[in-house]
Amino acid sequence: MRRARLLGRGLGSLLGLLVAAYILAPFLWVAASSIQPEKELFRVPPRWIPRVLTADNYRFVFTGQFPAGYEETGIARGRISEKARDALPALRNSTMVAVSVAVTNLVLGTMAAYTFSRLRFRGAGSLYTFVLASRLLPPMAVAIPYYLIVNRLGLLDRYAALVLIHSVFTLPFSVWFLTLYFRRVPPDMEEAALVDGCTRLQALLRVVAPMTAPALAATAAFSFMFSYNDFPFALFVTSTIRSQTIPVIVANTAINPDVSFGVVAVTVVLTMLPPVAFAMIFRNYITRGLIAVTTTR
Amino acid sequence: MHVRALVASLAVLMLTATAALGAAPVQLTFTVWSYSTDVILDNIKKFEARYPGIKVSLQDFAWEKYTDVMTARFVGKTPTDLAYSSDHWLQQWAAANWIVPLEDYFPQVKAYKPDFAPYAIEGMTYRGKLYGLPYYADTIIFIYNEEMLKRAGFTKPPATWDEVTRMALAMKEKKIVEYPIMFQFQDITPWYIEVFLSMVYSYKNYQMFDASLNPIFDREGTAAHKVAQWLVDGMRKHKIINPASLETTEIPLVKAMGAGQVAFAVLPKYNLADLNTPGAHAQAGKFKMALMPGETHGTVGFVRFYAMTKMAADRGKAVQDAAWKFLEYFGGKTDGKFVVVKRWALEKGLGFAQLPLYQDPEIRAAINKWGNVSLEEEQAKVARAKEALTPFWGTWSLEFQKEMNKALLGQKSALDALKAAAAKWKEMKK
Repeated sequence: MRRARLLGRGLGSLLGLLVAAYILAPFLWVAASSIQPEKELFRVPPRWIPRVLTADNYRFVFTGQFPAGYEETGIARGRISEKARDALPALRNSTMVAVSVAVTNLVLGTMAAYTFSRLRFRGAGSLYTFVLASRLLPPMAVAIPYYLIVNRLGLLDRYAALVLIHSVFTLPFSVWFLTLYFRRVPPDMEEAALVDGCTRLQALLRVVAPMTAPALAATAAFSFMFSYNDFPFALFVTSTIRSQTIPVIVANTAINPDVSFGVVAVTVVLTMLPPVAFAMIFRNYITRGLIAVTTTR
Repeated sequence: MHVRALVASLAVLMLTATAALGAAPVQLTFTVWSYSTDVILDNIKKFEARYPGIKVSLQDFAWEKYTDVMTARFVGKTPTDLAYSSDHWLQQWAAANWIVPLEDYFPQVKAYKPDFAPYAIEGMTYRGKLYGLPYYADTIIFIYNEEMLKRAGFTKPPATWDEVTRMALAMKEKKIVEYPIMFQFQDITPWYIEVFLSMVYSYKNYQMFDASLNPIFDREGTAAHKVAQWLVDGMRKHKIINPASLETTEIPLVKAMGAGQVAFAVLPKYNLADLNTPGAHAQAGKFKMALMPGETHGTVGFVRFYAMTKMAADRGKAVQDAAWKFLEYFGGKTDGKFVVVKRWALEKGLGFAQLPLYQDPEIRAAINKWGNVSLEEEQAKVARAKEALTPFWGTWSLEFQKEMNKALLGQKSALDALKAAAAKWKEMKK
């Protein structure tokens, strides 16, 4: 019996390791590529464990110093995609936009969800359905109209354009998600707060919000990631490094005829850092929030 | 009286100078695809230093999405004064009145024509009028790995497509490389049709269309049919063309060639500079260009150019004047020299349409470090612009590529694929 249990546990661990390896392998491959010279990446047969390591790719992205061998062609400048050097400002832009979208979702989404979950007013059902239905629109169907609106507002190549567009796409999910969560919270404590003289907003901020922290964290994470990963809208409404985000810069680097895949790998590694940091900090809240909502009927 | 006149003149002069100094600079918006934006910005800085009354704002977009973004900008009237354009899109952009013929605004542009390669002039001309000054121009060339060729027992590169087959079979037999030839034939890449046409243009009777733009390439025995059949045989019968070609685009092909997995490829010439970069490729230094194999060694010459938009033209004389200064600085001469074009050639190995640059000793020495300037010049002389560039050409080329890939997959014959592509052309032409 004990042996069977141990065997089962061992098999479970093995399966877990296999799944982890399957998920992590691409990331490890990219990380390994970022510390190898370009030539090594195309060695046939490939080396699964790198033998030649270099910091040249990182040095190029951070300082502009060309990796070894790139200036020996006779061309005055090495043929390597300089666009990769925009990765750092693009990371800043991505983080600023994604954090703004997360905050917008928390503020507007919380208030809207609280209203739908607690207040009865005329048209509430239709409005809720409309908010949910707007989520069904394929993003590319509205790309050109959004571009024209943003252009008309004079917001092209501004953070505000991306924050507006990303919020439009993320808010329906946030409202739905938080509404479900708020409905799980017993109204007794808020009612007690209201009796004690709190306004609705104060009750929301002081009583409901602390109790629903996991759901708020999950909402923030979802909206952050949507915004951080967006490529098509960022491509259309940004045009300089003043607002270009990291997916745009990675794409521009990767499709350049002068591309160095080692340098692209550096930009990908840098891209992964902010979301990983975000997930590490809020992982407990996010997991609890998602579990709570998915088990709600 | 004289003193009064002098004082009055001085006053007028001072007022004019004050107005000029105080006037806001002309602001130009310049859109490009993302390639070496640091060089472009440096060129802009030098231009602005030369013309202090002009400020240029640079906006860059990914090459593969450039047309989509530009279409949105033109439709949405997003301020855009100057833009990179290409022979692919000229018809569409000009027909839509998004860009204007330079000749209508700057008649002096005609003086540049004798300096430009004929294929480049053709690629920038719509309804008889010149729409741009070249950013760069290049040819599609035949690149080979000299060491592999020698190991197979050959001392000269192939001069005909039959020789390509013979040499590739020898390499395969000697196990030098499994598939000696590779193409970038993923059906969405714009280079596909350019490569195919380059091979077609290497024949004497290369025409794909008649004078009324009706397709004639779908007839048996035409150059297009010979090329299509050669490709099908190479992939399915001789197995000398890598089947992965159907999923390959430019960059993976160059990387595979650099790693020693490909002996022969047909590519835009600038890739030769990249392939011979020691830091980037294990086989760097072994790559050479040959004239395009075939009866005439003809090939496709393409041009990317600076265009002025209708929006800029509508902004008035001051903007038009500033735009001309910009166009001439970037694509024409400054103090009698093609300064910016030469810089691209020296620093990045880009080709050029400005033929006098071939006489420049600095350029010749630079190209010879990674290529062969005499051969390049010879190839450029027999290059021609793509035929029948119509506003629907780009859309049709995608259909052509899909049909051609069906033949390469063995789903239909080469001739049937060409017939299907011709039917698509006729449908679109209506």
